[in-house]
Amino acid sequence: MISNFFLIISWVFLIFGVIGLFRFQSIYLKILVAAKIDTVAFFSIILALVFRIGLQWETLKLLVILLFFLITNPLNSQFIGRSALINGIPLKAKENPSTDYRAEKES
Amino acid sequence: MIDFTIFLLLLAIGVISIKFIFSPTIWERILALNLISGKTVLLLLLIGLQRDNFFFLDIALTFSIVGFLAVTLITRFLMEGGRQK
Repeated sequence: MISNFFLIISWVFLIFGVIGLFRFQSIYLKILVAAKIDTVAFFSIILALVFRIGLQWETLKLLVILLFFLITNPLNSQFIGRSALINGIPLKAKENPSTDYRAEKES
Repeated sequence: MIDFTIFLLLLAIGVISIKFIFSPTIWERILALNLISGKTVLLLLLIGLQRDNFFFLDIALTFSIVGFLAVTLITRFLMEGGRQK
């Protein structure tokens, strides 16, 4: 029962992550989506599996995978953002329809 | 429930693969690669639970290590200037 609840939470966050990857135009907003929403989906699916298989030795292995992912996914996001910033992608894009729609509507 | 989660993960991998192929800059492609590697680990875990075969957990741990090394090394290579240096 609890594992089904965590699986439903993971569905919502998976769908939001894919929509956000197509909705945003700047790369830094996409990195935000990848860093936060995908981590929540990973966390909830592994918690669902832990509640489903009970207390065994494999539970420890699942928690090791979760700990490894929680350490390395922010590192990957930080490396990608730093690499894009050093190589000259601007922080604020001029032609950005996802954040400029209010100015277009007023004018 | 687990079957629908596997279906949703496969759909997400397919949609992100479109983003991986048709992206303008290389950093968006690496970002899509990062997402695909994370979802592949989840897919291996769910398939291992569905078939009651816990050896899939070791394969998932190996996949997570390989994905982390791939993204880190490619971004460090691009941070130095890439092939144009």
